[in-house]
Amino acid sequence: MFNSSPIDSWDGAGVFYSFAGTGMTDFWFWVAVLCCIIPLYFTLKTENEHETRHQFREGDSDSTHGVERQD
Amino acid sequence: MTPAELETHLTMANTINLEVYYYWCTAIMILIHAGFMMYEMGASRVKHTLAAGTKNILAFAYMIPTFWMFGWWIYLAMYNGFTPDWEAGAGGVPWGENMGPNLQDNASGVFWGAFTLFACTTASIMSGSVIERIRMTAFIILAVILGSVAWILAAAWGWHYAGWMVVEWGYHDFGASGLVHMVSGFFALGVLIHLGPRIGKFNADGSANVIRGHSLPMTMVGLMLIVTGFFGFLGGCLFYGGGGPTGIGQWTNIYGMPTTLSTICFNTLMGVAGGMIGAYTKTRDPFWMMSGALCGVISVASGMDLYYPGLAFVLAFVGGVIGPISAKFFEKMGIDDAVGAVSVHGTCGILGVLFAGIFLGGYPQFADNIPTITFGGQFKGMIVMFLLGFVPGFVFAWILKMLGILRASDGVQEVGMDVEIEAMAYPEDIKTIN
Repeated sequence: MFNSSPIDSWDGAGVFYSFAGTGMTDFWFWVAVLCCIIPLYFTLKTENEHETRHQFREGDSDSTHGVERQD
Repeated sequence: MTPAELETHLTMANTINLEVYYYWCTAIMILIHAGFMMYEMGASRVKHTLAAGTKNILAFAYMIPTFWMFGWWIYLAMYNGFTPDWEAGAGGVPWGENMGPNLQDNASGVFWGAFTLFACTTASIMSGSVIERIRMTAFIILAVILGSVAWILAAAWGWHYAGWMVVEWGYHDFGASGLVHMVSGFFALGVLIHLGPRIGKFNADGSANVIRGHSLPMTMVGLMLIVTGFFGFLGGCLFYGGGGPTGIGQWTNIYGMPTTLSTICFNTLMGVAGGMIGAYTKTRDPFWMMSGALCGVISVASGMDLYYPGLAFVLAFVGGVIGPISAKFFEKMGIDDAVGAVSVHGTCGILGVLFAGIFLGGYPQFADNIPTITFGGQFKGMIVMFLLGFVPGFVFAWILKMLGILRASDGVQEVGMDVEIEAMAYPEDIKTIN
């Protein structure tokens, strides 16, 4: 569908990745950036929900968090 | 040293480098098998653990002699369709000069080895989906049909510079999204239809229950081993330096088009990362996050020798999102695929083949008479790969079912599949809630 080849022949070819030399590489770069950032937003949202739900108050638990006191 | 002697030395150095390269690619690919074994053992409940691991090791062991007996011959001889080229196939007959130690042939053994490990991978893909209820004998028979016949026929047709799908349609499947992953994933689907679900997977109203494996950490480490093994797998998809059919002094893909190891490094890593992030975004599930790495690589494998890395990352992200959605779909259809192999390999394999058709138009081929990559060619190729996987899986599983040797009895499943191999994974009797 997309004619993405930057070369017509392999003779003497250099850069050959799809869309090389066109604005489409900028487009895919910024979409890739969004694919990194958007998941972080949802991860943060989930974390915050658990942070709120599991607030620790003094006296609520006698958990040692797996740490043993050395006497 | 005369120019003729110098040329002889250079040729020999090139030959030995080629031999060394594929030798170590083969060794690294064994990590895929080790990884699948851990992945599937971790995904099994305690009472089925060792059966899952043993199944995996026996698939590996059976694939090697059967691929030597007839698998490699199929690749060399069957590139035209179902009519063999006996002359070309002569290099692959097990009693021939090339299929054993020969000082005049440094290539056949390492190429055979690499392709054998691809075959082992196909069996591993199927094995995850059928854990906890398939019988060992039936599994081994199916693994041999898949690994030493079905996938290698697909490779002869679509992963060979003279393969009819390449010559007639310009089919492009560099990293085997179709011919390894689709074939294996849909072979597994054909088997699952006859095998049926694990006891307790589905309720009377058709709703599904979650059956958790006994060690998610083992599964996660296994998947990282698979990712490591991918470097051997995808590196082994290149032709080393001799120029391939084009005679150009550069790495080439299996179709003879020039490429570089750097290209594969860029896009393998971007594929792994995109798939992991995509699947994690969709599910927040560590199991699917790791399976997402496979979804990602498979979704970009067909065209990873040509993609811009940013595009590969985005396509892999899409694969990572779609993999778990597809798994839910198959579960709703009543298919109990224990590790989501049909979706990870089958559905994402479809994506891989079609993405190449959508995004890689216009590339010159290694010869003028080969069509360029088109969506139509990739779409037709996708249909062929589906049929090459699904039909033999469905037919041979049906035969084994009729013979009464496909599925373990409810009693054995209840006690645990480990009882059939007369061994226990955890002799200290770790308790399981399942």
